[in-house]
Amino acid sequence: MSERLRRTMLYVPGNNAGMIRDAAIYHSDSIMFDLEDSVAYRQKDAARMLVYKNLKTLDFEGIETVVRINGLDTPYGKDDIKAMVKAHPDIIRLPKTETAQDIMDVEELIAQEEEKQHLPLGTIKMMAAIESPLGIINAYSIATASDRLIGIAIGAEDYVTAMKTKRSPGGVEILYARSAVVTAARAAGIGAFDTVYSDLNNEEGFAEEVRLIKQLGFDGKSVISPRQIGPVHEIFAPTDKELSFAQKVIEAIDEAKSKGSGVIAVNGKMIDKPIVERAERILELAEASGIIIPSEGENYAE
Amino acid sequence: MKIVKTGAAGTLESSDVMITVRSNGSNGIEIDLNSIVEKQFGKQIHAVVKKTLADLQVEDALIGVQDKGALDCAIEARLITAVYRAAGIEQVNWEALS
Amino acid sequence: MVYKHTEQTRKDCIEVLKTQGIWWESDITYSVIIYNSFDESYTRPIATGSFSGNVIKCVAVTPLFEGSGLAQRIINYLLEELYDCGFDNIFLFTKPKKTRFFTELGFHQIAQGGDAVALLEQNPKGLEQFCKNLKQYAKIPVNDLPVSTIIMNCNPFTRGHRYIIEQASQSSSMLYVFIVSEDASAFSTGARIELVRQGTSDLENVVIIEGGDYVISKNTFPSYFLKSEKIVNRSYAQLDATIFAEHIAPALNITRRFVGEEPFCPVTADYNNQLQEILPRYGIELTIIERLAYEMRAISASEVRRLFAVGNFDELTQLVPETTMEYLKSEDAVSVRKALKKSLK
Repeated sequence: MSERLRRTMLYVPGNNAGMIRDAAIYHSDSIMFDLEDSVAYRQKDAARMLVYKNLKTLDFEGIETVVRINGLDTPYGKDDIKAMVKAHPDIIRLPKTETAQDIMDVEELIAQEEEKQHLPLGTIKMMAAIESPLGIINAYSIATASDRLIGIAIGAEDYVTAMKTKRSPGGVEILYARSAVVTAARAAGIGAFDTVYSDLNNEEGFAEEVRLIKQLGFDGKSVISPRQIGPVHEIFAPTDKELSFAQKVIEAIDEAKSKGSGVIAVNGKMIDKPIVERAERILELAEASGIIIPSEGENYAE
Repeated sequence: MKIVKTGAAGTLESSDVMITVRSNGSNGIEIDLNSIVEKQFGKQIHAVVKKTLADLQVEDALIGVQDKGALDCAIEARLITAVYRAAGIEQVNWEALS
Repeated sequence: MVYKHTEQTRKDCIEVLKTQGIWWESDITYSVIIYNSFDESYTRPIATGSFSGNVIKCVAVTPLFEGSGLAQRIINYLLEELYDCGFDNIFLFTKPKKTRFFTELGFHQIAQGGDAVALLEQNPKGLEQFCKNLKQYAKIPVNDLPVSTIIMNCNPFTRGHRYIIEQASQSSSMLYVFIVSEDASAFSTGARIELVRQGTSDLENVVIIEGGDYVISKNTFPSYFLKSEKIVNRSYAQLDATIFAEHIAPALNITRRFVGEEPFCPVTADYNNQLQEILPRYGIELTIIERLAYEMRAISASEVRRLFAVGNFDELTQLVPETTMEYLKSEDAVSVRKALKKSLK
């Protein structure tokens, strides 16, 4: 596999023991334990300890673990990093990132703690959420600020407030920000992740939004309820047509390789590198979506 | 650690535990356990509490445990937080923590 | 988030309480309100709970949301805040049929007063430790007279109080005087105790003890879930007498309790009747002492407070012992007098 699938990142409040315990059973691609906005100030110590002990103890069945820490401009950020590097999730997610310096400051602290814990430098990956107009303007420099970064995400709630507007069903007010984040992520060669959709009762609105962000090029979306996981995976699953074409592309490549042929065509179309990459990606997605891929030589309906 | 006031941590929600740590003179560790799974796991919870307190070097404390079916790791986490609060210490010694 | 109560938040609390037939209490210092989150304007309160000092009170959830865990969450918030305030123990008065709900949240029943009220505490050993502490005051009786007690507020200590204590001490081998802890009084608990100590220092068999959490003050006894004033008074008397008879008296081997006579106050008379009914069941005798009169009127602490507020020190000397007089004239009492003056207006 070339790149890990991150279609859904399940948001779990860091001080909620029950939700942390059950987080793995819904099979999201990632789980994000939150120490930031969902935790009241006086419970920061309790949430940090709870997430720490759970990460140290529980088996999340291979699901990627992410911890959203508090920013370094708060009294909690430093302790969060100290505790979380020791707890060793896959990723530390920084909220409200505005500049490349924000990333570098966190990176430095992570590196220090990795050294203390005798972890190879760079073990803990990072993710950055961009939630302000300044952050959007700096998206590319943020996305390229550290080798640890696996992706950037857009956080819309604070952003729209700063933009003096509010969220609407079509999301026209964040179209620019979304595009800026995806573009910066692609330019930097890392992932792009969309914001949460908070109206749990509006299933159609949610599906609409997922289709939109998929079309924009996002890799996935933060979800705030297990109920949102299935619909995202469904929408991100390749269609039969995409799947069949991808399968043929891979077969053609294998055939060309064995024949030593340099020119590859499927259905009369020339196949170049981006098409191969997309085909590989589609097959990965299909596998993750639980679609059975027939073995070589079986026939497809076209 | 020395307990200087009453400290509590955790919640009364399902799968969590609320732990209260009080000073207990020099009467050692006393545990007042009330759990929805006391019959099956009472002993286990006692053991987790005692071990965690020993690791934190707490010698005298009266511990109230309202368990709503928490995992051991949640019990440990809540107890450690409550002990730190009851000791009036803000900075957790992460190096010493398992 | 902690906000100061506004007209609106108070109204929201009362709205929820009403749905469960509970009243608001004016001494509440902190409340939690949960609003219906489907309504973004936060105009639909659905659960609330409050405290005053270290007593949780006025917890209610609207009928539609009962059983959804909101009451637990309210208690949770309140406990967190109370422990944060530095309290070591937290109390709660409730109907006896509701005690199970609270014992499952970590409360322990202390006593029941009749069938209307029960008192619970968070500290599993709170009462036990209190009684253990009492034993340090215990002295070996010097004669065969009964070991007695009297519970007073002494707000502040008057010649009337002195008279009652003196009378009681003469017919007792030991007299333990409990001073009700209650900072709602004009004179602080510390000051009141000190004045009683000074004013009785010549009486060798008298020991002054701070009442603490287990000698309940009538002034802080919650009545929000009780139907009538009559039930409130009766329940208070029953609860107070039961805790005293079951726990405090045995700790000090007390066999007699004195009360001041109250011929013109039906509430106190009723209280004394309740004591008369309950205490003998535990082998404790109740003795009523006639009050000391000055110019044909029983000396009352409220009259002393009034005279103090208006600065009539001449008349005060007739009503309070010298030790109290000294305090009233001191720097320390200036702020008390200011507060009293204000409350008179």
